[in-house]
Amino acid sequence: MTQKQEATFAGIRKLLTPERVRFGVQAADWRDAVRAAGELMVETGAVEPRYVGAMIRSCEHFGPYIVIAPGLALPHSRSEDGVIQDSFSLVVLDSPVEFGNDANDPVHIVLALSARDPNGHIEQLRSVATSLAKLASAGDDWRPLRDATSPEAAIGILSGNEEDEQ
Amino acid sequence: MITIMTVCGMGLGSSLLASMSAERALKDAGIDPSVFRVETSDMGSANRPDVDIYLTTTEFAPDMQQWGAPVVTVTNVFDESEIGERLVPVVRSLL
Repeated sequence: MTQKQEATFAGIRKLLTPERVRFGVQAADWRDAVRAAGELMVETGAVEPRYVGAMIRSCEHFGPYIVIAPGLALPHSRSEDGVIQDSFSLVVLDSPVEFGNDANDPVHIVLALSARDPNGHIEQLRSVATSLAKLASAGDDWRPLRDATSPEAAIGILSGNEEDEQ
Repeated sequence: MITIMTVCGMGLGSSLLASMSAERALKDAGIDPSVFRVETSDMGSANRPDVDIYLTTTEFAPDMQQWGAPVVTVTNVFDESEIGERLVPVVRSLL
């Protein structure tokens, strides 16, 4: 890894800790899926419990805009809805779930985020964005993430650390 | 300077991701980076008179039609070719 890649990887690891990654999650519907991702953030002290409800309500209010690419949902809410720390959580669903987004359903991957202020973690989101864009364009329904054998491997994929892939 | 504003519910997340793809799509289309800038915002603060083009996902577009600038919608914030196809003609029309 270059120094810059190392810094990015370290940065993402602070936000997406191994305890915030869960595979094979069973969700009956989109609310369950968002709740699962939210609970990982609550359990690890990143958000207050009310943040989970806020994420769900924002989807109810705005529609399923959080399904930002085929198969991927990015639930989040505002800092004043109970954010304690910047974080990501990652839920890989056991089977895909409909969120009501015609273009991008069904969802395989839920990547929730919390930010204390919108500008605070732009670099981390940017570096995850590059990996996400690459995975999205592969057109294989996020297979590398779904097939990841450990939280560390998934974190490696999202931080663009290709070494973990081989 | 053409001001392009990407918008989503919270102003972080999909708007930021869309802004990154928009910048790359415009660069790939050979548009001089000095003639445009891309900003991100939430729905509450996005309606500004200096914005020339809005870029958003389909859920937000209906509420933005009254804001007085063309609204470009995308379904996949990572898909540069979708964003390029929809955004580049509008930017070119303003140059």
